[in-house]
Amino acid sequence: MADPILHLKRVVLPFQEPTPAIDLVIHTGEIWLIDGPAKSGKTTLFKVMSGLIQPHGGEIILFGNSLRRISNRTLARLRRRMGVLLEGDGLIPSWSIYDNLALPWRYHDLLSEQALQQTLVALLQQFDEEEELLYRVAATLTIEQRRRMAVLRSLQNDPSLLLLDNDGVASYLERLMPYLQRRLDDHSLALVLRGTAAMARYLPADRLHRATLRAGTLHLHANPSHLDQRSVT
Amino acid sequence: MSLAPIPPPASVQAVLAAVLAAVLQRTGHGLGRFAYMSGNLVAGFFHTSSGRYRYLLKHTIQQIYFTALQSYQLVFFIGLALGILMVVPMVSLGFTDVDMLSSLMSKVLFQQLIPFITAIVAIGRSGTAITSEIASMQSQQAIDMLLLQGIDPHHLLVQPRVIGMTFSMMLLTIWMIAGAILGASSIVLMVDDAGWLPVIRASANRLSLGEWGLMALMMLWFGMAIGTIHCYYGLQSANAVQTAMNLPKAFVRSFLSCLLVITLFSLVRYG
Repeated sequence: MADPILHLKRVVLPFQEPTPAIDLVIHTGEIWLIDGPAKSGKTTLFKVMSGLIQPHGGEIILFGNSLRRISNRTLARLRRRMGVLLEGDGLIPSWSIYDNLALPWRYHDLLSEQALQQTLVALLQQFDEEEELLYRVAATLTIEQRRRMAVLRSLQNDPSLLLLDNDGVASYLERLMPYLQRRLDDHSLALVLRGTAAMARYLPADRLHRATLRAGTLHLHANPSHLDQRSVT
Repeated sequence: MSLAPIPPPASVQAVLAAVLAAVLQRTGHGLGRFAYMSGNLVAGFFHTSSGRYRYLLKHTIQQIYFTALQSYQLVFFIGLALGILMVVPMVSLGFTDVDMLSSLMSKVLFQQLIPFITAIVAIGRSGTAITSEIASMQSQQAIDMLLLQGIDPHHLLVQPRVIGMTFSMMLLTIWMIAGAILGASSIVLMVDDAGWLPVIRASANRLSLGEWGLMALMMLWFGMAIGTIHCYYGLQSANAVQTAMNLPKAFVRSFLSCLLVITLFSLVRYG
């Protein structure tokens, strides 16, 4: 099997009370659905996986690079291969959606204005969104619209690893699924999302792995369709 | 049932030492963060993309527009009122000598009161807006998202606000001085036939190049302090409750910082 895209090795989440170490191996083509009660550490786990916060122990290997040993510049380069949706939508409220989505491209000089316009319009069309939304100020959109725009932003780089730390994404999954399914079938994407067991019905069972987080401890649910052992403690 | 022994009361010295240590620790922590932010802002100029410079320029202009241009009427009116308030009592007591009035205005108004009042206007109007805006980004996790996109929030959000605030302070001070000269000279004109020009010329002559330099230095400090302190408290606010608590803190800290600096400058000038 190919190298994992994300590997958590004996990672201890940064809680005040010590918690057992987590081992989690994620490969392309896999979907990981992580659920758990409130305050169980789901957001903390997603922040650790994206390198936003440091764990109390263990090692995170992202795209074959240990996050402990890489520079900030390398981490920024690796993050361009990731798409992340945080618990909040992460949009700058006083900016238009266009400016929000264009920010990383413009800031890092990745695309010309013309190409950027085409890319963003194509992105919205791909997921049946109205182009008019691009030119609205983020603060004037509904929570649902903002969340959808934030999801699209996480997809705009065609990421290899998609981390969706937001329960509200369930209502949008149906529209995203054709794109996600194609990328999963190509083994060019791994999807980790937070949600309840009910979300599993939107996801292809043969690729789905489920885990529950309780007080910083991750418990794997066996998936009958593929019983090759993923090491999850 | 047994009662736990009551610990002996701590001595006054121990309590004072603990309080002092806590205050020093907080101050040290705050100064450390301030130094880190300032260092990061300066370092950010030298390793970056052209896209970042475009954002820096755009947001700096926006900050100058919001702080300086949108409040020019208010600042000019305050300057006008200060000039009148300063001169009316003097004129009523019979002091109508243009040179003496200009000297007094230069020492009291131009070099002390006007820079400080300009700072208060900027803190109240733009400083609080900066804190609220950055706090709202923080509560939506937009700051975390910037980090995930390889963008340093200090470079995108803090730097243009600090630079814009510094330029705005200079513009507003000059504007308020102009208002004060106009106000004062209007009163002088009513009781004396000195004319506008001699009053303006006499006031302007009181401000030497050195005085302008010191004033520019003071404005530089005010702009940097107000911008950095308000951005810092915005970044420390993760929700509405923390924002409500941090807004007055930011106001008080930047007010005190400006007061301290203007006192130091006065001591250097006249001490």
